[in-house]
Amino acid sequence: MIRINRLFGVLFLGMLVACGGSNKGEKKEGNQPADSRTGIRLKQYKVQGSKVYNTYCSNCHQQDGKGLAALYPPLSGSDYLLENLPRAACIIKHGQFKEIEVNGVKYNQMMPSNPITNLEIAEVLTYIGNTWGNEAGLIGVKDVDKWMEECEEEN
Amino acid sequence: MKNLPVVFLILLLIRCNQTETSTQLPIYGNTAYEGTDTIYHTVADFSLTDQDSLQVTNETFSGQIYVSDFFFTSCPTICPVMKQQMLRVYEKIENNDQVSILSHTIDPDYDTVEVLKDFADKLGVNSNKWKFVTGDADYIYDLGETSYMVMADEDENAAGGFIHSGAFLLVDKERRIRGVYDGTVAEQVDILLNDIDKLLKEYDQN
Repeated sequence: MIRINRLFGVLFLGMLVACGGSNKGEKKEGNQPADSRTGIRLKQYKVQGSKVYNTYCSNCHQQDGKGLAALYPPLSGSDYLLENLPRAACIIKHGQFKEIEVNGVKYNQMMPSNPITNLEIAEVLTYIGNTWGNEAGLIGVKDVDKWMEECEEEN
Repeated sequence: MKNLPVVFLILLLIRCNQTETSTQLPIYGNTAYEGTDTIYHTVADFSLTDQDSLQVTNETFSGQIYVSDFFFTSCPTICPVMKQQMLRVYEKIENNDQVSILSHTIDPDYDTVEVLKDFADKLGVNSNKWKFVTGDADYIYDLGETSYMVMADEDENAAGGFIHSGAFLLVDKERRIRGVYDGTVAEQVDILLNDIDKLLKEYDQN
């Protein structure tokens, strides 16, 4: 019995060492160059952003980002979205009530405003901007903070 | 006792035979019996106006089965998903003169004939196959509740101002409800697409 207890003791120690090891690994990642940190944030934003997307956006713009016929415009490969991300951030928050043209097609179904924070806007824009073949890169919350100030002035 | 397994096997076979003959779709709603007659729940007489300003009644679907739902064009929640799924139904039945689609607006104040026409055009659908109908709001809510057994009503607390079911209803040529499906779930609509064929087959056999 004592022997078995000892065995568990050793195993437990081993586990502690293993955990310590992985902690060190994490610290190491922190010291890596900035572009890798951006990469991790991009992934984090995308995961959170997909949840925001499913809550507020996917009903109309659909799971595949292709929109619905001539009613709701696509986000996948959308020139309107990718050419002007600050404008997109503003629309996500305040809705869209005027006609817009996306990839040569005119859309005039109104889009409602959304009760959403700047961080959520950054997350969902990062998700939309980097899914379905879109490659806009990370959209940080500081970018959105700045854009929303300009947006609030206009609205 | 020795014969027990054999009895079981026979019972099993009988059950199998029963399920084979019961491939007919169920008939929903209250069933009444008058003497030897069975009276099923049916969709009541109705008269509404479609996207071309034409009157739509039960006679419009005479000799046809149809799929019905309740929605509104400015709905920000489940309706776009319903319409995407109903487009799948439309694509299946587009060239079948025995099947139609009937979508009722529950926001007739906003969804005028012109708005419905614009909506249908943007979905890219033929108005003979897919009717978008409007009428008096209370009339449509009553029709939904009493005929199609779905809830539809105004509710200022709901997103978009209306509360309603996302159900698709399959109605047969005798105006009976033969299937109820969640129009927001692709797998449920798969079943509906299959049931349309099943229901049409019932008429082929008769």
